[in-house]
Amino acid sequence: MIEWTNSAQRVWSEYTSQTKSSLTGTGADPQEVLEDLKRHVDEEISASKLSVVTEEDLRKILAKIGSPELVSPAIDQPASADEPPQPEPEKPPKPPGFMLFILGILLPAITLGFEYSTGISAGVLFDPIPSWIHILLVALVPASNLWLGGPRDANTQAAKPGWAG
Amino acid sequence: MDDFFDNWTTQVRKGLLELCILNALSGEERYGYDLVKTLINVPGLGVTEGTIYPLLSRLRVAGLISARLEESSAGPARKYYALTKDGRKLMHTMNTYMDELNASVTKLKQKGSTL
Repeated sequence: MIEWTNSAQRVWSEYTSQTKSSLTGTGADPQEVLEDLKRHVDEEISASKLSVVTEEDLRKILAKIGSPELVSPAIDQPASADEPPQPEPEKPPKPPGFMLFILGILLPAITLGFEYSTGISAGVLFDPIPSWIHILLVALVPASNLWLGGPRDANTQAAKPGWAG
Repeated sequence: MDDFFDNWTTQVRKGLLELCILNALSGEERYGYDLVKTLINVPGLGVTEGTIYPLLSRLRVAGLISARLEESSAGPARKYYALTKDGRKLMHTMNTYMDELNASVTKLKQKGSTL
């Protein structure tokens, strides 16, 4: 009966957990590979005629066995699976849609034009645009939104709101 | 130059390992430890013992080889591997492909770009 020291058992446990995780998704059965490796280690121990397996003995055997990584792509995987993964191209920021255009430009502009031409609020509640200065200030809302989303040169393209494309 | 050669040989070996395993099993069934020792001694193949077991498992999962366990009086239980019918068929196809490829490369080497 061959005995394993506690430290040897700990080393084997670490090796198996590393191996198991490295084999996941490779097409091989990790449990089967671990059992095969254990049998191989047992054969090596048996060939060395060891009665007690120490950490040093086991480390020597494992160094000889090497890392059980797969060296070729899985049979059912395309050849390109072996190539290093390409970084995903940076996606352009998603445009917020036409809501900004409608709520930020169209609606304020229509409201201003409607109030200016009909004076409906002035007749019922109060006059929101009593002077040209007030009209200018309110018009700044759609105007500034239009300016922010309007055409720019290539260097400032990133600063443009999404609705402008 | 050395780096280029090393990378190239790594790529070649990657493609050949499975064929080497199938060829090693073309005769009679062999037990894992013995098979692994044979393969690591193939000149130029450059594999470690631990590398072969995942490939054996994958070939078994793919149905190209079969495996059976047998108790041994000499030590731990032995796992014997053998080619399946599909595995043998694939091995022949792969060998034919390799022979043709090798012949083409040799011809190219002898005659330059004229095949």
